Amino acid sequence: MKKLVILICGLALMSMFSCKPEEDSLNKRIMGLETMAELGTVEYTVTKIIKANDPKWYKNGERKIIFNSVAYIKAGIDMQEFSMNNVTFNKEEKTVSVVLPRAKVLSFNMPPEKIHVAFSEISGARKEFTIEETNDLKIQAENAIREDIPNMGILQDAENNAKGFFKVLLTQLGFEVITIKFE
Amino acid sequence: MENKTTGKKTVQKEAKPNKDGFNLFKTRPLFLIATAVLVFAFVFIFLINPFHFNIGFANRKLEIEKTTNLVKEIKKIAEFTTACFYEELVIEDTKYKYKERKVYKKSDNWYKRQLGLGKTEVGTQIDSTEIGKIVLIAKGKIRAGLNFSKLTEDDFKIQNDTLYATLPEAEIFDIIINPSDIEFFHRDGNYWDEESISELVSRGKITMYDHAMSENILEKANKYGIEKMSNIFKTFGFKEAIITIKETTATDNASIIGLENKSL
Repeated sequence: MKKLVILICGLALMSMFSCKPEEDSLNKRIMGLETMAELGTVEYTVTKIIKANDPKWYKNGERKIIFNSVAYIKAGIDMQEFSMNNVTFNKEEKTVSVVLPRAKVLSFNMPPEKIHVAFSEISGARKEFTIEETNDLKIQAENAIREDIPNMGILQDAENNAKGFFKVLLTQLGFEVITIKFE
Repeated sequence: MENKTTGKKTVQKEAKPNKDGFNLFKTRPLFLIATAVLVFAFVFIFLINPFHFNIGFANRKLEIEKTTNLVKEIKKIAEFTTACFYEELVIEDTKYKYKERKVYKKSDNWYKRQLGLGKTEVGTQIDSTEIGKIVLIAKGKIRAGLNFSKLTEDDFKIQNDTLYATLPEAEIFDIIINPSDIEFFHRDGNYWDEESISELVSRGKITMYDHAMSENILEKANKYGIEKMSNIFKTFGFKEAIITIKETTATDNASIIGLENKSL
């Protein structure tokens, strides 16, 4: 009887830790489609060399790796909140004044297929870099580029280009005196 | 202590117990063994760290060196993104070991079977055994909308208070899966290198593109683009804005995904 109880408890424990729920969660796909209104006006192509050296005083040998990477950053104006309150015009005088929201980064794309190993050296008793380790290096590079975005001047370029775009568009719509501001 | 047969007193050399009765002389080898075990455990866990425990300096995070972010190109664009598709994908890859096996057929002839010639080769069969598996979870997004850089002067006509505009057809702008969007959920074996992981991610992008198309991303981008632009035009004093979509030639999707010259 005691053995039977132990057996049942054992089976219950095994079923708790079996991989079935994990597999179920993998099969669930999350997807969604949403609408937006973002006017991208500038795209920066940024290249970065990802360099890592992994010496360890207590291990024989070194591990070094260099990647070439590229990132595409788009910036522009979010037009979602744009409304009548942002525009004042006089059709007879052909004047228009537009207040646009400040530019922001709209997309950041660092395609893994465009990150290539340029150099790799494993010496002594060291092991190769694992794919998890190299992906971690790429994430660090991605974060480094993201942190540097405010220093690149991309937002200023985005606002200048947006100004140019709206000037051309409003000229097409018949306006002659066009004022564009950002707030 | 007294010996009963000789009557002589024998003196046995005994180690002096300390105050608490702890015998250092007897326990000395034990001390040495314990010290050796501790040293071995330290070297094994902290220096060799075969199971990659996240402890101490042995598993110190590998960090990149500071390098310059070089702006290589600045491009003026006019992309009006009106739809974005998000997906969390599970990308799997399995490696197999293949072995060729000869297939025989038993002879119907009893005498041949007795002579050991009872089977004849009829062909070969390839058996496969799973030797490695990888599972990635990738969060990606696809941005689509109207490319206003294709607009021309002829696309706008004004009659009284009505604006007639012809806008370019919606297209896919970006398919994005960044390194930080990738999670290595499971890996069994060392059969994947940088290139094969890139190919897996590209495969994930193609799957995501197919899903986005089946969710009618371009139709939704067109519809919302017309709606939003109509509202924007009305803010400039037009009572009515009649917008039509100009059909353009389909963009090469492979070039958007960045899979040129890649066979998957």
